[in-house]
Amino acid sequence: MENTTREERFTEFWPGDQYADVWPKHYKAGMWMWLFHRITGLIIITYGIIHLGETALASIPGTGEDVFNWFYRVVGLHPFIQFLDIIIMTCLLYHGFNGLRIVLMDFWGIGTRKHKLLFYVLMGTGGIIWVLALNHTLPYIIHRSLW
Amino acid sequence: MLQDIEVLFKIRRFDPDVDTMSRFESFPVQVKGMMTVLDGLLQVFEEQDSTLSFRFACREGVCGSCAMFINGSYRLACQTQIRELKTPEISVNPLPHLKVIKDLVVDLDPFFNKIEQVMPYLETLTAPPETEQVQTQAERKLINEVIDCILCGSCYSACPVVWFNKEYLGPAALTKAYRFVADSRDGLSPERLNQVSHEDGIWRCHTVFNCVEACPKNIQPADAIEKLRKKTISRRLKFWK
Repeated sequence: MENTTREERFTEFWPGDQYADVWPKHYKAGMWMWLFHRITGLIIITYGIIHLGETALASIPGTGEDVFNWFYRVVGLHPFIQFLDIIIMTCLLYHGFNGLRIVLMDFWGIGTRKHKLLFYVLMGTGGIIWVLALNHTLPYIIHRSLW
Repeated sequence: MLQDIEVLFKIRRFDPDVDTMSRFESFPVQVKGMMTVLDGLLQVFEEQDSTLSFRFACREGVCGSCAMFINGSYRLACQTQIRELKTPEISVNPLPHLKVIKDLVVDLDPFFNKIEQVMPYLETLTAPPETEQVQTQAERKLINEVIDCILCGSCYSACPVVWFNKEYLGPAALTKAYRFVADSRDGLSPERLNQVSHEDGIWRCHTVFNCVEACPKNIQPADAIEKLRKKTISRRLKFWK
């Protein structure tokens, strides 16, 4: 550490570096909103790629349609995949409504001083849609998994 | 009369000439009356270990020298009552994500360099008047909040975008830019907006609102950045209001 200037030392790893605030226990509401937005975004894009691949099966000439039907019957209707569908729906609702909050803030400056209230209002709306959608799909899922 | 209590100060120490890693050192502090964390640090400095380094000047929340990461929050040591923290142990860290010079003293050069980039001074286009430059109450109200910034560096240290992107101007510099853009006396608003509207300026903000949570003066830098964005958009797209 001797014979080096402060600037030279600072460009490399500095043993005094400390990141006390990166632990989740210190995260505030906005940080969680942002993190979940990122995570749900990654889940949705992964799902999107799989979904595109799956539906593209049907467009293969010849046996494509049969393969797609088989895939849909065996994988798509499996109770576990149906359960994952509920998770995808939750992610979509969160990402969509939180994205709406960001759009409102970035384009019109609405709710920048009350972003938590805006978040809870939007999440409440999303929650109602979630319950309604679940009310519609859950009986089918339960019926299929019992059958 | 308040009962005297004893709390344990867990202070993160780092001496660049001796240490190879930063470490915590504990000091018992006798709390008499309403003592602030800064008073506690001064007590440690005077009675137990005079090698402890920390910055302070005004002791009343005006200079912004004593911003630290105390008990998991960004606080000014001089504005934090030990009794209000209500914990027998108080952890005192220097501001995270800034280079530690020694103990609780961090290198604020990158922070102040970015403040300089946004031209933090009033620039009038006309010659200065004989008396003062008059502002109406409504005009003053626009900058009432952002003018309170004491340049403590808490928001800069708390911003997760700054953690990963050292080029980002950061909430403090952008709030400072907004302070002059919104000022009715300032004549450089278009230049200022041009200066901050690049990918490492206002558009890099992810609206995490950590700066709002961190600010010890209750300024809302995220709000100022959003207002800058709105001004830039309506200036570039004439039809957008």
